[in-house]
Amino acid sequence: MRNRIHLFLVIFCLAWNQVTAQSEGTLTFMNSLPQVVINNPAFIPKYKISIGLPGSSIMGFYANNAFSYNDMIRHVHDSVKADLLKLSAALKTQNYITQAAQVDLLRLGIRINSKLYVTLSSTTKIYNREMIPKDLIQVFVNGNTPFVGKTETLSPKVESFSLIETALGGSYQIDNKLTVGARLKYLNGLTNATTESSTLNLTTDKSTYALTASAGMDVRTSGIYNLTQSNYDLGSNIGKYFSNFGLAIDIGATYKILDRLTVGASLIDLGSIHWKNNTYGYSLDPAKANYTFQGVDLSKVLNGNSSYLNSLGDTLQNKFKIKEGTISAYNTPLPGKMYLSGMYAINKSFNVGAVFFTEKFRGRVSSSLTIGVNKHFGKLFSAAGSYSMVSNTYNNFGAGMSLNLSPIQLYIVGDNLLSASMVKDVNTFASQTKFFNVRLGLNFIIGDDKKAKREAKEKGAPNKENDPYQADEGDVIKRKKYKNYTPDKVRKR
Amino acid sequence: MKFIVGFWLFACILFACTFNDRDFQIKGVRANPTLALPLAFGDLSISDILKKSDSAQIKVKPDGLVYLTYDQALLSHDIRNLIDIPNIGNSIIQLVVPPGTYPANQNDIISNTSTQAVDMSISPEKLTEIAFKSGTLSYNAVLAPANANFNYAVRVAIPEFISGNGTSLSQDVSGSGAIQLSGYTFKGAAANKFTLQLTLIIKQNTTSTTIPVGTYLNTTISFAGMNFSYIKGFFGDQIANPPPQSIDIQAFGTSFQNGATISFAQPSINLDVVSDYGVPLTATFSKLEARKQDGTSIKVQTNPASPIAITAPVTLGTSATTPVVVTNVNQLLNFAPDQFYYQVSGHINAGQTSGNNFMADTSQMRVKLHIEIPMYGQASHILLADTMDVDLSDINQTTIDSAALKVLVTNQLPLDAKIQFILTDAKYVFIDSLLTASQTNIVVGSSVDNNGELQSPGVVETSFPLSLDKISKIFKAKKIIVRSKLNTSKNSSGAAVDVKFKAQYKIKLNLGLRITFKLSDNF
Repeated sequence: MRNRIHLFLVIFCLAWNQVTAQSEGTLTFMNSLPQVVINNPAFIPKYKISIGLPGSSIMGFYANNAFSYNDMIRHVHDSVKADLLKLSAALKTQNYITQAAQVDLLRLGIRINSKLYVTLSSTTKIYNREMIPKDLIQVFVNGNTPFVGKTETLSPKVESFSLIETALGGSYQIDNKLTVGARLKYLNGLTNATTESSTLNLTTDKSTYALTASAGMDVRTSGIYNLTQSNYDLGSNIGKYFSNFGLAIDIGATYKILDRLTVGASLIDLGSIHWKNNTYGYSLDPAKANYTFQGVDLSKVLNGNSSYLNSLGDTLQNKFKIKEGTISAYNTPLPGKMYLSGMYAINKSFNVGAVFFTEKFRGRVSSSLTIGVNKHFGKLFSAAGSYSMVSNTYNNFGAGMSLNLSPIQLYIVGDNLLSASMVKDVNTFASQTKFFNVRLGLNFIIGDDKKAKREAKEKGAPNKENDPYQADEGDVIKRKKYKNYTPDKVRKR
Repeated sequence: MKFIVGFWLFACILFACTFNDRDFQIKGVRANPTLALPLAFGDLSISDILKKSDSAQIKVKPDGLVYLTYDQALLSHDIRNLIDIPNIGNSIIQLVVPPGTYPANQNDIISNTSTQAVDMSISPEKLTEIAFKSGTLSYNAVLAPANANFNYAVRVAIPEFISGNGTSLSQDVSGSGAIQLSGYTFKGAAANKFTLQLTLIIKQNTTSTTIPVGTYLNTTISFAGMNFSYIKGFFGDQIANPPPQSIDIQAFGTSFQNGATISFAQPSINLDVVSDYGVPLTATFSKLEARKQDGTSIKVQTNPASPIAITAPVTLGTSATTPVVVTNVNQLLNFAPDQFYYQVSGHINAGQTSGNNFMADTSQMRVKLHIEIPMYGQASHILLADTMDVDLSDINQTTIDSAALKVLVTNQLPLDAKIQFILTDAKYVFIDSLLTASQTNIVVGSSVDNNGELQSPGVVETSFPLSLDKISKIFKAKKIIVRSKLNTSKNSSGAAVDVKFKAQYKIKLNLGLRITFKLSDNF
């Protein structure tokens, strides 16, 4: 047990070095929503049929691992002034700002039988991530003096893509304990900008202040360059934007360790996209792009080399001139995600649990941890509350609610929603937040799984009692409670 | 139902919050970045510091010691120009044509001969050998009275004029014409004189001819345009007076003026007089002095002293050198001249009445001046100054909060320098000095051993804060005069010692600027 605690602490510490990622921890607790399968394809929503129509569900995401708006400004009387020193103090070595959005074009979930649940979905996704080095901001705020005798890392990086994802997935209950799921995704990449490599280092010599710059860059884009051309007709070329194909897969499983404890694991977005439409690159050869400026060379000046200063500018321009042009097709990975979850059913309608999330993308690993509860208030209303440690912030109180007015289900879920309601106004929330996500919309839901359970019971299929992801509130757990435990024992628990 | 109410209540709380966009309208920004920037650098050797115009004269000895050399050769044709071969006017030689009737004859008949000694009138030279480079013998033979039926010729012969194949000049001519003398060499037993022989030749004739009594062949002979490729003999006691000559020296410029003292340890100045003339020659320097632009001068003392007997070559086509050493070199160099000035006259065969002299028409007397100044010695108060234009009008002065000048100098040269930056306006009107007196010791000379060799470099790493007042004056300035006062390193006890400047000694200089801006903007 002690070793496990140590292991947990190690993982916890490692994870929190860079905690910002496109996680939706609270969604995992919302097993009343068809969208719960997003985090683990082995999860089985409670409704037999669920349908999402174009635009009926949307998701927005923002994360900044370093600073909030409040870290950038100060109030001077009635006005707001930028406070660069304050910003500088808040910065991390690498500052990642991530924005993402999703819009459902179609979502269909059908329980085929008591063991099999299939989903079909199509979603438009947009993902942007900018990395701004602290040193880059510092140069503007404090100059290069703090770096005298050191090397500044100034190169920003950007990752951006938009795509349409069409996914066919299913979850299958192997036995009473194990459920597995998978989802195959067919991707149509629309636009992309990716930083294969980027370096821009500036060293200031301690004794002479000589500046040594070295740079390298390999930035690739698809479908963007043409949009910047004034005479480009997007309408007649829209078909080309669907020529970037990709495949990805999600896999997951849940396992009931104890009657009330179920753990889950999933790997999401394992795949890549092959970009070939309007591929355009920007590059800088690191072998060439380096130069040390020591000031004016007195020996040249004394020798009457009058063209020296002019040639200096030409030299710099030649060395650091970015080469741009059409490039060949290339591949980019998707941000791969992993969810590890554990859910414990306190009673028939109340679950507690934790979700550990990790994302790996372009060499960066980021994580978050969410603990939460889920409560079903009868058939009509389900709610979840959560607390997340994410994006280097520790004040993220999330919430989820679904109003199940079959055949319509209204829902909203987010990892920082409660925080928004805890502050006095939106301004305060917007100014302070570094992390926010929300998923909301409506689903069409038809039938709960009571009938299926009855059929399964009649056929002798393994029951799904105490499975928090499949629980029909008040039914399975109630049956189990009276089957194996005395009420007194239950109460003691 | 209560859950529905709760849901909508929560939604209302969430969405009913008012959003005030004024909190997100940033009205201004302020920053105080401090930049550390390199201004200038250099790995300067003594060659870089010396004037550019002297660069061709800067040389390095095998041990690396830098020295300045000045070589100048002044050519003189003045002695050759003393020798001139005058034209020889018309000599009329009359040959008697024997009278009578000449039958038709098959062969030429040699008739009367007339011989005449010709003096070339060369003085005071007594030439016994003249190789003609050019010259023309002109003739005009006229029969009197005329007789068209009489065929004749005249043979012109000069036994002392020898051609390249060893035969003497002898040509049959008639009427008028010319004989080119180039390729002939006069070789006479008697100086300046040769023998002219004219012989009547009666040419073959197919008919008989009658010559009356009193018939003569009158031949007119003249010489002109004679020049020599070489001559031998006695050239006489003569004096050539070429015009004055000068050699400019740029090395010292104004650096050693204004109170500078300098002492070179091993300088040398030599005058080599090279003569191609096979004749006793005495060079007399009527003037030999070092001069400054301000008009002052000092005399150059030599060994041997003027007049100097110049060694003659033994054979034609060779040269002989007579070295002349300047004995007051230190005095001259300490004088820091701008120019060497001299006037020399050449006296040949002084007091002689005979001799075996020779010269070619290309012979010269060359005076080669060779100055060698090893950069080995001691100096003080050498002033160097240079002016740079400055225009900071594009920069907003109010954005500068503070600045400091960073200096790193690693000096292997045995030379201290006090450097001051003088700010002036466009008309060189003084505004201010950038550094305080204590800040001017930017360059510390290396320490040297007793032989003047480098022991360890002088290192200065310091930073000079520039007050806002100074910064303000920099912005006002249009020119910056960089003035340096240089002194050679002293020994450990503070005494001046001779130091060496070697090519490998460098002064590594880095100038940097640390500047803090105060930037603000309101939107």
